[in-house]
Amino acid sequence: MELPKGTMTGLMKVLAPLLMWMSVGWFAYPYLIGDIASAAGETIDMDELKLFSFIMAGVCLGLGIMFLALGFGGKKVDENDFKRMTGELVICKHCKKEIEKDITIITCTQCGKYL
Amino acid sequence: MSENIKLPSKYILASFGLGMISAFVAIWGEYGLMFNNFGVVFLDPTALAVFSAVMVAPLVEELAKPLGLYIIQGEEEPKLSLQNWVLLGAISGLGFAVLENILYASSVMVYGTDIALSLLLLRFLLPLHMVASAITGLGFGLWIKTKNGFYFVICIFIAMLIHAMFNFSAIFVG
Repeated sequence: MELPKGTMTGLMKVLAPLLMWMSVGWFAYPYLIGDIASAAGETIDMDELKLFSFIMAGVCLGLGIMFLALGFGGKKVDENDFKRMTGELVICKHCKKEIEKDITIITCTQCGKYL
Repeated sequence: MSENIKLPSKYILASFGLGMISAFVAIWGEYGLMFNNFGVVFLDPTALAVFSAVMVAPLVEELAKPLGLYIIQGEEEPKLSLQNWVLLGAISGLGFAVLENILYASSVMVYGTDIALSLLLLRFLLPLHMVASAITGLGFGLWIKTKNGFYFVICIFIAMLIHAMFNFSAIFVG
């Protein structure tokens, strides 16, 4: 079943700030983990860690910016598209208005004729 | 159109609170259920750490975190937009992370308060649980809207995969 266009915009809007937040975390990671590791008596290859952390910070920042642009600039999903997918909307044969399927509704809410 | 459906604060609170409770569910799942039943305690410590962080934790935690979403839908069947389900998923992840981070920080208090605070800050700066749960929230919302559970399975699998990759890198890089 193909999803309606814009399905992912809601996710992107939420993920964009989280990824930017995570980017800050990755940037700070080598500086904060050093103290924790030395207190626990563990040794860490700081050069390797810094390289990895900065790459991750860049990736998260890049994805965050991309999701920000796509999430807020892209097409918003129409919730009625999901109802159309599942057959929850019926079309009045007289005036073509879309009405939510409901066994208590027997006449069109717009033209008043029998559905 | 329905993107603007208001998200009631009771659902935000329920997601956050049940997200915190789900951390206990995950702890029970990880230690009480997985380790006791699968006998992995016989593995060497490194293998056990990798197995725990890369296999067990993502599986159990990603299943437990949307506890609030399961209960909200089961009890109230609210008409929420897809973005609201994503938000509720992220809030569940925040609740889970708050409790887990406090537990982790308290476990390193023996090394000093500054180390515990550094760990707490570090963990709050990496909102992995919120990211993963937001993806699960999308899957849950799609499941509700399309009546097709396959979307939830796909999204929760992606969330588990991201979680596993994150834990793997944390073990092998630092």
